[in-house]
Amino acid sequence: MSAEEVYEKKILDRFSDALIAFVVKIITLFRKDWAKRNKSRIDEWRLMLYALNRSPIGIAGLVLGLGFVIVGIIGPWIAPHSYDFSYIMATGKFKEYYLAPPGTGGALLGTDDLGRDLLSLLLYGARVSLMATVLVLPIGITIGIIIGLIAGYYGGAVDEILMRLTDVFLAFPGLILALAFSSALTQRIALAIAHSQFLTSLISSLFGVKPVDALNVAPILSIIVALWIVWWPGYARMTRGLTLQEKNNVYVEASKALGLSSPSIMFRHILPNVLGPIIVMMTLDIGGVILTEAGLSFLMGAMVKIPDWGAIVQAGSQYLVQGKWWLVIFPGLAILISVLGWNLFGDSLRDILDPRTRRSIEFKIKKRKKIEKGEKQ
Amino acid sequence: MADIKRFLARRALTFIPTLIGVTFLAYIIAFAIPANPAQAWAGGIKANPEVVARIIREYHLNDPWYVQYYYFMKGILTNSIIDPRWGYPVMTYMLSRFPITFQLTLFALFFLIVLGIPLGIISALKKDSWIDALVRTWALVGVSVPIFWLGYIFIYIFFYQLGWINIAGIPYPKVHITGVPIIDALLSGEWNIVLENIKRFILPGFTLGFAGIGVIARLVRNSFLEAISSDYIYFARMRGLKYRRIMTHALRNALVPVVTVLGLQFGGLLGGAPITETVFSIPGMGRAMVDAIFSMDFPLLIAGTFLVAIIYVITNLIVDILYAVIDPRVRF
Repeated sequence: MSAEEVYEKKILDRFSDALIAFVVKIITLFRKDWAKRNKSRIDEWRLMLYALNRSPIGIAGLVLGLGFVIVGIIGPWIAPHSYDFSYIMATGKFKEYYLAPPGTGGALLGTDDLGRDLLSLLLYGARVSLMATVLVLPIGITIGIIIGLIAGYYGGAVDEILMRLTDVFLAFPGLILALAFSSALTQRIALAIAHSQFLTSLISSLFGVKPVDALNVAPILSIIVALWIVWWPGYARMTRGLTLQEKNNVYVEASKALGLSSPSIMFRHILPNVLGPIIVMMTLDIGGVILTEAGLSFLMGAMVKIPDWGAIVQAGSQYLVQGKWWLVIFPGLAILISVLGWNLFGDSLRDILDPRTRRSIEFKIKKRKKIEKGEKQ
Repeated sequence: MADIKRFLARRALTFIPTLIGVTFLAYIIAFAIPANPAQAWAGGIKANPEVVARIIREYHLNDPWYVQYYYFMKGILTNSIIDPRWGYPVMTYMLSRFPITFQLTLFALFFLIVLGIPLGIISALKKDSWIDALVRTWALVGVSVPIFWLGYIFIYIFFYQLGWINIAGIPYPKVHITGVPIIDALLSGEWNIVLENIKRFILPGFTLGFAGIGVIARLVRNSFLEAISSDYIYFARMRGLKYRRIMTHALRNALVPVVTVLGLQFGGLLGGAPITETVFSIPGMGRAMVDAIFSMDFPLLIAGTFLVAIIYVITNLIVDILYAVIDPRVRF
C-alpha cells in the first residue's frame, strides 16, 4: 500500500513530502543506492507524516514545541533589552522602572524589582531552558540505551548487576536526588569555569550571557549534570525490556549464525528496531526536562543569578502578595506552553509510531474517503 | 500460599542490594561536596583555624573515601551525624519534620483517590463526553504545569484576592500522639484544629496532587475500558447479569493496576514536596532540605535525601507485595 493510495493530499502533505525528499537527497549524497534499497522505509515515513498531518493536536504541539526551540535560539538576539540592569542605572530613573505593571514604561510584560524588562528576561531564559534540554537528553538517553541494551542482550549476571544498579538510582525520587547533586556540584563546576578561558567563552556563547556572567551559569550546569544522573535509569529499564522482547526474533539468531559480533548485533540490528518507543519517550521527556530544570532553579532561587524561568518566578514570588502578579504568571506561562507543546506532540507521535494504532488511523481516514465517494455516485 | 512465600523471599532478596546501593549513592553525594565545607560551617572566611581543624577531624573530611563511608554508615546506623549548624543529630531533626510532609502527601493522595478514580470511571462510562475530554486534557495539562506556578496562582486567588486561606504556621493540637497534626487532632477530638489543618493543607495538597489526579483518571479510564471489552464481561452479558453487577466485575479488575500507580505516585509526591512546601511555606522535610542547601548544611541534605529514598523503597516494597496479593498472576 503506497502513500498515495491511503490519503487525499493536503497542503501540509506536500510540505512533508518535500521535507522527506530533502532528507532522502541528503542521505543519497553519502550513500548512492540508499533511496532505491529503502523504498519501503521512505514510504513508511511518508505515511507517518501524513498521519501526523491529520492530527490537529499533534500539529499544534509541534508548532508550540518548535516555537520554544526557535525562541530559545534567537531569544537573546531579539531581546529588546539586556538581562542586567546596567541600562536602567544609566537612565537614572530607577523609580519609574521598579516593578512597572505590564504595558507601562515601554515594557510589554512589565518589569521586575531591579527594573529589568520581563520580556527580555524571558527571552534570555528560553535559551537557558533550551540548552538544558539539549545538554541533558542526548547524554542521559545514550547512557540509558547502552546500559539497557547490554543488560537485555547478555542477560544473566550482567543483567542482574546492571538492573540492581538502575534500581538504586530509581529508588530516589528524581527531583530530590537531582537537588542534592546539583547543590553539591555547584562550587566544583564554578571552580572549573573560573580556571578555564575556553569554558568561559563557550558557556557564555551557549547560554547567551555575557562572559562576566559565565560563572553564574554554574548552578544551571550543576542542574544539568544532576539531571544526567537522574535521567538515564528510565531509559535503561525501558531499553532492556524492549531488547528482551526483540532478541528472541529470528533475525537476531540469523545474525549470530552469520558470526556478527555482539556490539554489531546490538547497535546495528536490535537498536533500530527498539528505537520507536524510545523516540516517543524522548519527545515526552523534553517537557519533563524543561519542567524539572525550572523546578530545580526555582528551588535554588537566589543562587541562580542569570535569567532562568524558574528563578524568575522565585524572585518574583515575594511580590505576589502585594498583587504584582506578572513576575509569576508570565514565566510560568512560558514554561507551561513549551512543556505542553512537546507533550501534545509526543502524545500523538505515540499513536503514529505504534503500528497498531497508526493502521487504525489510516483505516479510519480511508474508510471515510470511500463513503464520501459513494455518496457522490 | 507457597507461591506467595517464594515471591516474598525473592522480593526481599532484591531489596537488600538496593538498600545498600542507596546508602552508597547517598554517600557519593557527600563525596561530591565542594572542597572544604568546614570553613563555611565554622563561620566563613574569618573562621578560627582551630575550629576548622576540629570540624575536619569530626566529620573525617580529610580521610580516604572508604573510611568516610564507614563513618557515614556508622553515623546513619547509630544516628550520630551531628548537624554542624545546631548540634542536633541530623536524622532526629529530619524525622521531626517528617509528619508535616506526611500530612501534605496524605492530602495529595486523598485528592488522587477521591477525584482521580471517580473521574476515570465516569469518563470511561461516558466515552467522548465533555467529562472524558476533561480527563484527557487534565492528564496532559497536569504533567505540563509547573507546580510552583500553580501554587502561586492559588495563593494569588485564594489568599490575596479572596482571603479564604492562611499560609503561615501549622495548627498543632494540644496532645502529641503520632506527631501528624490532623491525625492527633482527630484522635483527641479537637475539631477546630482539624478544620484549621484542612484549611491550611487543602490547597497545597491539591497543588501537589494536581498532576497525579489526571494521570490516575486516565489510567482508570483506559483500564476500565479495556476491562469492559474483555471476554468475561461479554460472557457475563450473555448470561444476562444486571448492568450494575457487570460493572462491579469490570471495576474490580480495572482497579488492580491503580494500586501500583498509586504507589509510584507516592514517590512523585515525595519528590514534589520540596517545591510545594517552599511555595506554601510548610515546614516539612522538603523545606528543610532546601534551607540546608543555602546554608551549605550538607549532612542535613544527605540525611534528608537518604530518608526519602528509604521511605520510597519501602513503599515500593509494600506496593509490590500488595499487588502480588491482589493479582496472583504477577507472582513468578
